[in-house]
Amino acid sequence: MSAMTLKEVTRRFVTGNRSFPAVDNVSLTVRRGQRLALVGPSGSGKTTLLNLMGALDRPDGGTVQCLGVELSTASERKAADFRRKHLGFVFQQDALVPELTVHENVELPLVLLREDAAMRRETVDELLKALGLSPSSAARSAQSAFSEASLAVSCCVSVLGFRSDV
Amino acid sequence: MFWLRFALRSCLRRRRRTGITLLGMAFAIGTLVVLGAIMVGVNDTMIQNAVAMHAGHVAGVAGPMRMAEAMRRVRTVGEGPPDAAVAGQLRRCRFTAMLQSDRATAPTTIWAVAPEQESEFTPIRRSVREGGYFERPSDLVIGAGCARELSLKVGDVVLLTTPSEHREFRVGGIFDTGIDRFDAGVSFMTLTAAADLNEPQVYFERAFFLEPGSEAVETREGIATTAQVDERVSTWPELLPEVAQLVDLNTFSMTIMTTLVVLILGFGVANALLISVMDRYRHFAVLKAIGVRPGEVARVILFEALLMCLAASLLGTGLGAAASLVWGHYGLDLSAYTSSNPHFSVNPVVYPRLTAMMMFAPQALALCAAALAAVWPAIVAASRPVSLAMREA
Repeated sequence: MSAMTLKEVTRRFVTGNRSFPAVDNVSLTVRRGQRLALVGPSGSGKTTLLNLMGALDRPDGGTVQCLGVELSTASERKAADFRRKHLGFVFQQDALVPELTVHENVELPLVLLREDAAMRRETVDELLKALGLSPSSAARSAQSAFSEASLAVSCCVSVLGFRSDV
Repeated sequence: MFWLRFALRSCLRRRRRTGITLLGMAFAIGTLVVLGAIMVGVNDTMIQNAVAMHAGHVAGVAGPMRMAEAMRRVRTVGEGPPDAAVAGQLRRCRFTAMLQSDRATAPTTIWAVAPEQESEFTPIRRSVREGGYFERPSDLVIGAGCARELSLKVGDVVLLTTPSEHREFRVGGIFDTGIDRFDAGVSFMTLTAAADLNEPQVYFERAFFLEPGSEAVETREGIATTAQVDERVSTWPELLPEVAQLVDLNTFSMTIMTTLVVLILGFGVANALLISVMDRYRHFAVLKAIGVRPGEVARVILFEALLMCLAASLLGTGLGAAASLVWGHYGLDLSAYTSSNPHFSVNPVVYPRLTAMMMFAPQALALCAAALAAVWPAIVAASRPVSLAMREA
């Protein structure tokens, strides 16, 4: 069963008077549980394609469907709700929110899903322990967290798509 | 609650920017509180000066009637204030007469008064420049303009003529209020002296002086219910429309100034928030990527504006109120600017006074301005495409 289907997706960017396609007429089907690697030289459109697949961007042409939901025409709010419930991301650069502690950064996706506080604490503690982060490190603000922890937590926040379907 | 806490931390994380914005807002709010207190003080002084020279905040007038009837009313009108808002009540008889000296004749309005009570509420005793204020109950106290016109000085004898009689009086004092019309056209005698006259066209008057902050219109209603049938009760704005208009003009000017300050404050907040949002495009993009809705991002910006404004309101109002209270205690002498202004001739010192309206209106307006100022930055933060914000970071 397909988790994500892209049909003839095109995304163009405009630089000055010139418009060029970053993704040009791409069709793709990803099955549930499938692991897929996008490989290509710098500037070949990998990030653009991932943004389109993650409902972070909208195509200029074609359709993006994920778990039966049409993402290419979804409103910002609907796309946000979809990301909240079904998608996980690992960002290229560290992506922690400096207003929150490391612990709270990991907890944030669960807060958005309105999970029970006790369940959140337990889950996050387990994850941080698995990553080798001490409680004192987790209590520090993300702004002052060291980069290794940032990257680890960043992965964890994203994949914390424990419930991530894709 | 989560987003409120988030906004608070966001403000605290950028201490310098938050501090500068907050101080600017607090200064604006504090300034408005102080200016508002000064405006109320100026209005108070103008009203107090005007009503003290005329018929109080609320005036009851009955007549014309014979002097004997007027005197009967002076004696029989109830003692003590009829209302908690009334600080005092003066009873007078008023009639017109001609004053005649050896050289000239001048019309005058005679007010027959109880000198001791009058001294409590009116400035005439303090305005006496020559002689005394009824050192002898049979004296007449006349204005400086009248004295000049009739070439009179203290101790001279003047002939008072009414349609029914002629009576000689000694000039016991000459007052100078600085209000030409008053100094030329009004004279005073004691009720004791007036009781001997047989004047048929006398008006019985009651002048009510109210406690600070009391409303004349509301008090009039209470007084009117206890007034005699033929007594017409009026408030000072009805009797002194020019003063009422000056007060309205002063209030209008303050409203314009408040609006301008609040607008400037709003632009300042919008600018500070917008710069803050532009610095945080990537952070908002991360939040949106993990599922934070655009409305929730906008809410964070709105909360930041309101939190800063709330803190600034408390600080600004506290400082403004403290400054107003200190200034209100010592007074603000405006004599250098009001020496030719009849509305300040009696007392040129303004005592800034805090009112609930002038204390809390700037806060409420600043909160509204901050909320409106946050709209644009909030829209910018909420509508920035995630992919674009990530790419730019």
